[in-house]
Amino acid sequence: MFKIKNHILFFTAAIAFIVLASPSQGTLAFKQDKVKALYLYNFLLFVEWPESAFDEKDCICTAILGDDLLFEALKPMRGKAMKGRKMLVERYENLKDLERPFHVIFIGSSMKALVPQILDQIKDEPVLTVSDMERFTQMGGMVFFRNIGSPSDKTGYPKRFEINLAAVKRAGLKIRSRLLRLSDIVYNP
Amino acid sequence: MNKTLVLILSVFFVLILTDNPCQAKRDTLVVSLGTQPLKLLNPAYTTSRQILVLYHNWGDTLLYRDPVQRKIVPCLAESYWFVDPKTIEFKLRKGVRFHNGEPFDARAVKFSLDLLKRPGSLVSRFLTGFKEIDIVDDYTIRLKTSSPDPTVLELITNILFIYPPDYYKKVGKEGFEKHPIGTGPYQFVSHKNPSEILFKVNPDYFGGPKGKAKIPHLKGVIMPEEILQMEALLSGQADLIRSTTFNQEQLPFVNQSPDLEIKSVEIIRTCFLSMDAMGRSGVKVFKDKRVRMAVNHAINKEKIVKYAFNNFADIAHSVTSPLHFGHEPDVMQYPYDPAKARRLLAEAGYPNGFTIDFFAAISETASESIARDLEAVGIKTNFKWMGGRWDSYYKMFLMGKTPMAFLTWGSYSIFDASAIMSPFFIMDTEGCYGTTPEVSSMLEEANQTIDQEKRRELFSKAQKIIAEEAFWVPLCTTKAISVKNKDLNFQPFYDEIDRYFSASWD
Repeated sequence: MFKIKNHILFFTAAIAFIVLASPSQGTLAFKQDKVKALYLYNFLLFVEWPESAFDEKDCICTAILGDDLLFEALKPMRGKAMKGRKMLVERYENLKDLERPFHVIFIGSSMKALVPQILDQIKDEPVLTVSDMERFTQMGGMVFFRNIGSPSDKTGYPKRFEINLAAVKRAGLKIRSRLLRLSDIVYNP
Repeated sequence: MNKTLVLILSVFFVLILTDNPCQAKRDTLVVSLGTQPLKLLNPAYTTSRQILVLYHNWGDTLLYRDPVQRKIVPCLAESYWFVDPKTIEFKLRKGVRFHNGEPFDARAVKFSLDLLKRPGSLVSRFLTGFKEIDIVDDYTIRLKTSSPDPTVLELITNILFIYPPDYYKKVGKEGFEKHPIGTGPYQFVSHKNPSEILFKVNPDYFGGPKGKAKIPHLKGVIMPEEILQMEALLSGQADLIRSTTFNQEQLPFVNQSPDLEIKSVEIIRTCFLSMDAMGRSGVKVFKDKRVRMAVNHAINKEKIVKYAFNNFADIAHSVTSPLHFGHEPDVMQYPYDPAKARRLLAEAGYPNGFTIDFFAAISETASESIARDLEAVGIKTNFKWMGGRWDSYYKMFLMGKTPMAFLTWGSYSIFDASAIMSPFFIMDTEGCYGTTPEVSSMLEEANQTIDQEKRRELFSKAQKIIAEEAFWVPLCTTKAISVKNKDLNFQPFYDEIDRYFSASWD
């Protein structure tokens, strides 16, 4: 009887340890969103827009479509200075609500069906298009967040993004080398 | 059956314990050390700060800089006294052993100095005045210098690294670099690849002024890009970014992250642009002082400090930092004036500017800003970015192959103007791309007198001439910034030596 109790105790302790010590899925997701926000912030830092992309308000604006967690992670940066301009971050649920001008648009996976329409609407405008949905660059998007947060393996750190340089150039944008070094470059029309 | 069940559960339990991220976190301090792969684990053969920092965690020196009191205290030495201005006697600490069990004694100190003075050692140039070590007995030595050396205690504290003689002779330089041994609070465990190094606490550490390491394991990781350091910190894969490797452009983002904390301190590090005024690289354009002055006027230092360093730096006009003994702030200044720069270039015979190879391995944003400023006055740059390859970059610099180079110098944490002026402005030293005979002889004289007023005067005069000759563009002095998990107790110090052994968890 005593032995059985011991086993039960041991088993319970082991299970409790797993439950208490493992990071929850929520925590991991939150961290992932923080990292996505970090990279979006770095694209704002290291992408150059033509002067014509800015109006008299002189703000640098990020529109987030369909990714509330990313918006929450980036929200604290609202109003901060970014290369001498004021940083704006807005969340949108519908394409029609988008206010111009914006300089970066992040399109969440839930908006996949709308991607062709969105890209068509801002075609050749100086707007950086970013997403974490598969095949985004094949659809004509510019930056696909592919391996965000992946640890290094034997060959080193996996490239973090896929960048469609043809689309970037067409929009009159320049991406600095430190981001290109973290990217696989594709040339999709 | 019961025994089997207990065995399975036990194994299961142990596996969870060893593989659990939370447990690992409390056991291990993971530090993102920078972008340069860890290759030469030998502080005498690299000027890479990360190896110097790691050495002071795995090794000790006779003396130690107490970073709180800001004074030098005995460490592997128990005591010391000046027998005469050229001789110091050290009583060594007894009972200290290297991590492999080899005893630390007078023989180890003598062996180490001989090793550090060998050709190829990058610290040998600082130790030329260290004539010899006389062994009085197993635990007493006398260090003799060829002349009174005003920086002798600083040098002993920072770069008289102590090697285990028997082990070093057995495994050689290459063997040591693969598996370094010291007496320090952490001991080397493994170096899985150039991107990761692991240490464990030295259970037999004598303590001394450093004290024993508080976190059982120390893991250093290398990230190929600065942004990845931030990613690692945010995702919990690292706990701390080593001071001065953090890219200040990320500061606004860190400030909004409740899990992270910033600690900063003023340090001795100076950033500057070197121009080849001697024509060593085959490029003659900088032999003309007007061109060097034009470059000085062309660069907007204020913008660099504001944007590239996020104001965690101060504009510099002199080649030394205010923390160096002998710093002279009152030197000729070159205000940002692109029109004047263009005029000077025209006077020098370059009305349409010229094209130059521009090398850099640190602060990409500052380097790009410099390149843009130069282009604005007609100097086009072939930008050669060597980020993450500091050793190769510095080697090229020493070989005279860089007509224009953006450098940073931490002076080996020696708080004396000689630590930055001697390697770059004494004639015929490898790092010298421009000097005058007068400057060179003043610096040599300053290195051989202990009259501090006289030294101050010599350094001052030399700095004024260097500024008038515009040999460099002094850009800024930077601050050390450590970004860390907010649960970690860690403080960067003014000597830019991270003491990971003093870190602890809340």
